Amino acid sequence: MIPLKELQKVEIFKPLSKEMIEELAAIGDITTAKEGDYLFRDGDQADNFYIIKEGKIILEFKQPDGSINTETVAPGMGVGCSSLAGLPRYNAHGRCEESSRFLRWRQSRLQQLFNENHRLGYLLIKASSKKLSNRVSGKLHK
Amino acid sequence: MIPLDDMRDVKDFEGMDPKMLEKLANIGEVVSTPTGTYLFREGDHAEYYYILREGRVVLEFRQAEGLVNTETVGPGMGVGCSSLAGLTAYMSDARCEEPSKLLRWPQSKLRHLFNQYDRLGYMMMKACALSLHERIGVKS
Repeated sequence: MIPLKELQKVEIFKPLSKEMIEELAAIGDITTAKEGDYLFRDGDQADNFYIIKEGKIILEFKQPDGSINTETVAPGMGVGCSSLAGLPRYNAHGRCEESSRFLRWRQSRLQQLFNENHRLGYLLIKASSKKLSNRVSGKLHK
Repeated sequence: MIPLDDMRDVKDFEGMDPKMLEKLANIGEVVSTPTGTYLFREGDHAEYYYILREGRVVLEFRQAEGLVNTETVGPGMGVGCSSLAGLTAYMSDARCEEPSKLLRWPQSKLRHLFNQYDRLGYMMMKACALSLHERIGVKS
């Protein structure tokens, strides 16, 4: 269970109603990680979706030519969107650049919630897709 | 109105029942474009979401350092996900590399439909997110 105040000021939750946010709070938890920890690695099972509350995460996307695109994720932003979209595996490394604190949801519980409340699933994935569109556009640091 | 035959074998529509497909078909249209046509350019109002049925479209993503990342989109794939995600502007150029046939939906009509039918909106957004994920990391 996540205290409701922790869910305030999270950009992708802005389109959600108070009831939807309460539903999300009920199935999530809070976790921490140290600098240098990997939340997940490319190819790992996409078990969790995270929102960063404190700290900084670097996402590393391996490219076919061997280069690596990186993206820095700051507080208020989502990490592990693969799990939000229902994908089986992550497609990046997620490394803590600083000691960090997160809100965390298990994919299985999120998918169950979305299947019970399609509107919530629609709004949350839509908000997340805006971020994904930015990543696809390639405006990342090489 | 899109003929239902043209809605078949589209990955975005997997798992949708016939009624959902009919609702989508009712608000879309089929367009054909010659080689060299730009469906849209970066910064244009994200008015339409497209699914390519025939031909080939190249997406060109301009980078800050002057480089251009490209992605080739083939039949059955979506183009203009910005409009599906509710963004105001496209984030790339989209150029037809061959004569192409596309299904097309106005963003405003899609949004209206998704607001009426939650499950349909959820399934389309999930398909869009999956497609975006698959595309991350495969730019040339």
